[in-house]
Amino acid sequence: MTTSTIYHIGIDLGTSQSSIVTSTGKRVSTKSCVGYPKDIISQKRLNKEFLLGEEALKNRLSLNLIWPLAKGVICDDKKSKEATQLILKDLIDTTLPSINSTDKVYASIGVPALASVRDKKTLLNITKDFIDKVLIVSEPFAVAYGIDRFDECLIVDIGAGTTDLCRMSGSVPTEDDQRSLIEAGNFLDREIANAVLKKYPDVQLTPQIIKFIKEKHGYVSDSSDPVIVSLTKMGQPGSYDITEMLHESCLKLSDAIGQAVQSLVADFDPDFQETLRNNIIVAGGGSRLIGIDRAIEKSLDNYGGGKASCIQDVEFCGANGCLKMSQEMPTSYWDKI
Amino acid sequence: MLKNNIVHISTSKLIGATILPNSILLITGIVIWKLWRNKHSQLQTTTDELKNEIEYLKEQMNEIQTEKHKYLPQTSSSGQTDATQIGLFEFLIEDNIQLRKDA
Repeated sequence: MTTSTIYHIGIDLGTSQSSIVTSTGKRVSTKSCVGYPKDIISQKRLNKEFLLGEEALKNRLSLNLIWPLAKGVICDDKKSKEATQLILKDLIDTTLPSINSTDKVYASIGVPALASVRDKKTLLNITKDFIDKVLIVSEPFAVAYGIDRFDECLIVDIGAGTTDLCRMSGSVPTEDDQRSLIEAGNFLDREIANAVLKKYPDVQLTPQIIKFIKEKHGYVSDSSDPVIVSLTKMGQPGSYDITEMLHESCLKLSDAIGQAVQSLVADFDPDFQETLRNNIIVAGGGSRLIGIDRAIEKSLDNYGGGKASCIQDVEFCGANGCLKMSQEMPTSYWDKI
Repeated sequence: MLKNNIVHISTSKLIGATILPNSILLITGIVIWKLWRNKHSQLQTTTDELKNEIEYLKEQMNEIQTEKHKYLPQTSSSGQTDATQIGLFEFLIEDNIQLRKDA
């Protein structure tokens, strides 16, 4: 008689990047995109029905590329739902290759702080055929859970689609303790692209170029070395100074985050505001923005100052928290869903 | 004979004035180039060694993370009572049950 095994997984399903961590110790992160061959020639060349993640990006000229998530949730169309299924299935197949038909998969999946009921149900529907039990949790809360921070602290999770903030105060956070902003990575990409094209109208930009500039040079600190990037104009490469416009674009993001942080501090119990201000934890891909922690601290100057720190394991902190929740939840609770 | 001596001396002086300094320059150049080449290859070797170290450290980090996740179920969460965790899980489960009921 074969005994079945319960595998626990934590998934951070992001607009730009999705990560999985499993109870077997495997962890994988991938771009949240799927590419389908454009025509019969592409199909013949690629010899696959679809490509995922980095492979899809690499061959994007031959593919119709789909980014099925927007603002952290699955887009409301059939193609996006199918694409999300493919991404999730691939993540699970890659990290749990030797799973038997009798084994069970229990997953904890992070969603934006203020994701709607509809968005959560979509996630449940698309996962029901390949994940036995799914626990939907708030993403910033999962980050807090993963680092054992249930006391007075403020999680700022800067993703691509949304920036989610969650105020922890020793109990389960309510809706009032959470904020979800559209000012996030993709917003910043748009701002940078608009600013560059405004000054240099004829340069050739793609989402990948903008993303590269943002990740390599993006900064909100007061000073920086000049940012000179190589871009093409009618096919001819040239050097373009984007120092100031890059800084201004990044400040738009940090200012929006600063305002949200201020509002969460302002309406907190005044006896604990100082503790909250001095325990700000910045997570997500956007935490890599140079000087973002200092910018958030600066936004609290009129509130008595603050202390922000960036989390170390940026790529997997959300998924780690989801996995921890999944593993620590007693089986009797899992049996209820 | 005097003429021969003059030619001889002049030739020697010409050779001494041109070939000798150029030889010194050439030898100096060769020595400097060899020193630079040695230094460059030492730096290259050091860079390669450092790169290998970085790769090794990355592998170790991955191994540590893997072991940490395997170890995770055996440890209890620090700084939180069981009652608090139970309350938290109850809330999460209720929220998820409600989600399914609303279908």
